[in-house]
Amino acid sequence: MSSRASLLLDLTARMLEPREREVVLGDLAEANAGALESVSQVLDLGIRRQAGLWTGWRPWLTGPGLTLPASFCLMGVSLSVSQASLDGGLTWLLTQMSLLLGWSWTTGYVVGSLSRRTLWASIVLCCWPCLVCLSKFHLQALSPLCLLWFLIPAGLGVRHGLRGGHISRSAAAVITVALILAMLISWHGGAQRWWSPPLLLVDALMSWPALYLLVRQWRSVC
Amino acid sequence: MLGEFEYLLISVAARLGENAYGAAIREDIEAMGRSCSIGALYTTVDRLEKKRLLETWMGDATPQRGGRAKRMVRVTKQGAAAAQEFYNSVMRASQGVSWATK
Repeated sequence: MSSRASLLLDLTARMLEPREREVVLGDLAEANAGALESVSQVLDLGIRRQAGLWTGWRPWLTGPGLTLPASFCLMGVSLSVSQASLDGGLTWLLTQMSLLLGWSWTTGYVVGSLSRRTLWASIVLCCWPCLVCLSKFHLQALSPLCLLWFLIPAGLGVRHGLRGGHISRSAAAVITVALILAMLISWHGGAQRWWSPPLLLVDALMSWPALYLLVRQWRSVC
Repeated sequence: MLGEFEYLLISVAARLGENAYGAAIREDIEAMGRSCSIGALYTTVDRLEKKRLLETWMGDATPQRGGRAKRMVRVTKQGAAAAQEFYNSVMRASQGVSWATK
């Protein structure tokens, strides 16, 4: 097998879990399969595995159910933080920053921990709204990149979730309480965010990853 | 009730006994004139393992396989019973039909 074919096979085999990759590449080596056959066999198995994953609820919940709407909402919060840093009060700025950090990190953590093998789909569903909004951004006072602040805490959350990082029950409780407080302050202030969706609806959507974390930690202890 | 490919896989694995693993099973199935992709093989093995009709574990690596491990397969008692049931059903259903008496 040429080095290019071997590289292509290795790249294709990354669709598979490490243990299965070993077995399948061993089977192909034992059968003296050619490059084209090996790649097509691995691709076939990889597609079957992916299709199998999408018969469950997790990829649908974390992809179209969470990542897509959350990306739009978190771009709105990122914009609010940037706007608050220009002309808002300190309380408003801190509130928005807390919401941005808490919502982004918990969303990333839930996506990373619930759908490791379909993370690629969640990334696509995050990039798509980002590209749409960046292309339509026309505020002169702000850089379009201010829409993307949420990507940093979200990325850290995804990394923690992918590694199966543990979150203690008390940490989950602190995150949830901090988010609820930030939301209450935000409602009490009566200020509408820059973007239009009703506050309550957005807050409910963005809060469930934190509540999920809390419930999961609670159940794991009980 | 097993599917046709599931029955085939269990039968081949039972016949191979201690030497039943992915590549050997695939080779035997293809020797019968039936195509068997690695994708079909391992997704079926997983399905049968979930139903507790098969057991699998990681076997030794050999130089012939580029030093990579095998996925060994063993038919469980439930697997043998399910295969027996499938076989009996096919035999009963085939009685008196033209292609079975040739």
